Amino acid sequence: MPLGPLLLSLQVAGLSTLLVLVLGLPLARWLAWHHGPWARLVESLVTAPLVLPPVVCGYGLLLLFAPRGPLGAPLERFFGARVIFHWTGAVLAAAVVAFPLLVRTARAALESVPRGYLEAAATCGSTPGRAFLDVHLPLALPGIAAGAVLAFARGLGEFGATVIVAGNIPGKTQTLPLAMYEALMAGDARGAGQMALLVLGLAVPLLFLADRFQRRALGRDRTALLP
Amino acid sequence: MSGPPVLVLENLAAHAGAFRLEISLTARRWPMVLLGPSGAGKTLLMRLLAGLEIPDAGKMEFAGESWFDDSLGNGARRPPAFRATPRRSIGYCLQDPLLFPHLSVLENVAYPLRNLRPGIGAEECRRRAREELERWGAAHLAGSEVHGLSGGEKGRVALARAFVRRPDLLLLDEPLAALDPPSREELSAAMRRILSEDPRPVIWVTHDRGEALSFGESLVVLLGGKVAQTGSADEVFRHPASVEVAGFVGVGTLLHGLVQAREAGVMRLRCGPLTLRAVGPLAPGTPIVAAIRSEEVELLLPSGAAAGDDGRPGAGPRPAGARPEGGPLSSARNEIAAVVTSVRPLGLTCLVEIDAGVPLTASVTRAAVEELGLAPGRSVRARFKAVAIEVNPEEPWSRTKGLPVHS
Repeated sequence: MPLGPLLLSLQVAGLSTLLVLVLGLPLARWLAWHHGPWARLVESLVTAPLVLPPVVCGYGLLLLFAPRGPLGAPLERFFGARVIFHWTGAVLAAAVVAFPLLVRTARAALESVPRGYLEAAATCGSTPGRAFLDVHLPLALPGIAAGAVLAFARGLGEFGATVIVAGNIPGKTQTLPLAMYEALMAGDARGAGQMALLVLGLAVPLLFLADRFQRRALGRDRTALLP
Repeated sequence: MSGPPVLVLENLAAHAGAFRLEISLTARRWPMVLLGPSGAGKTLLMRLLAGLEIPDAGKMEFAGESWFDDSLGNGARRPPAFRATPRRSIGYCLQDPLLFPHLSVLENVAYPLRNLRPGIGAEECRRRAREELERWGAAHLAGSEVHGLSGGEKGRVALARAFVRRPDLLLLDEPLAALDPPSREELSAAMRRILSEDPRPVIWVTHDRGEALSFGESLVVLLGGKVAQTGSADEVFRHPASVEVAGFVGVGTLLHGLVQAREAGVMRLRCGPLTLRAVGPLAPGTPIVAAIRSEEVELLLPSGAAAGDDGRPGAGPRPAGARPEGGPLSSARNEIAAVVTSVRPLGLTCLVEIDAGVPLTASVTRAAVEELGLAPGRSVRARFKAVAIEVNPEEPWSRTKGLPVHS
């Protein structure tokens, strides 16, 4: 049983979920408050990775983060960091692909919190920032957690963008899906089958968890509407 | 600082969809009741005061502090000065208690204290929150979760949360409207007690006439997005500024007095020189405000007096429930002798003011005015049923407008 690819996959998915939360929550909040044409445009851009072939996302990242690319060059000069063909590249690839899942779920969760609670927080003396942290975020938490679980599960299964950005270097950038692909290509159907079962065993409980969170969010909202 | 804080609204304009609100108002007598039918703009005005809506134009000032001003810069292209909600010292409570469902009762009440500047410690927040819950008779709920509370309990906690910061202005938008009558009475009594112990400016929105007449030190009637009348409850009730106000508030008399005795559900009220019978549950000794709608007052000529006869009133007010000599027996429990002081038309009817030791108004048709020869100086008898008197306990903060209270 190849433990290395599994551990790397968990590490990549976990870190990419963190990255997605940090960048995605502020954007989700902005989208929850704004409904103009600019917000729609931003939302379309953010959603694009959901429908684009992951290979396209990977290619885009490769162009941006290549050692001479617009983001890769300064990254290397100032931090000495190289993303391409490095496991951090896999984190980046998983983050881009999982980003729309979190942003869309979190936006819906934030929008579903009745505005009255936020106004109540304001009349209690809270600035908008405080009200977001104290009231808006906690009330939307089940929905946001569902989004985070989905993002994690998506990162776990990421293949197309990863293989382009991080390559397939055994022991360095070879995540579980990549190891599975290699095993199949090498005719190791048994190894590939084991890994497939492993991925399935991880994904199903995660989706179950996400569903639980989402149900809890709905249940809470229903009681909140009652006087 | 001299005197109570003053709220000034100057041509304050705002809109919600097609509805337009435009208000000029100076309020210095608290508590102030905002009365109006639904759709009059009461809630919009409250949201403007809370800073939850930004006005289109005008000026808003409270206690010398500018809350909104579009004249700054005097025509220059500068945005109007607007003081955001967190920077206004307000307490806001709605019909929907909107308690934070992820916080316990105590945390809900402590929440506004966390925003005090300079800050107080978490321990002090909890102590003050507990104290506030005690004031509202809800100390036992402190550790409870919000979703298990009854409507009345939620109302208590919401009011405690609005009052806990001891804000300079309390905005209460029908906080009791969703409650069942018993918890409503209870909560309204708690609020009255707290406001008399610790008076502070309150704006209380209601569409309930009785509540408005008994609660407010001053009354603002809002109709169709405009101030239709301001004044004391007595002034508005006795002299409505327009037919519209009269139609909504009603016209009549407010009498201040005392419950003298109660027997089989009928209270004997002492209002100045008058003794009246009314129906209600108040205990003897309770100071009251009695509202008598002018439509309920029937005027008759004293027996023996023919139309056009200019007789003087008899030997003053008669004991209630007595029947005039020779007159038919009546079920009306109140009948008093009076003299007409003025007759003025209001809409399709006439308002007849009479002096019965205290001033009373009666609303009668124009034909009746002619038939009975009602004119200033005319002696009449006024008759109304015990059930026609609306009795509310008098607020501790209203000045004694009636007679010195004695039992």
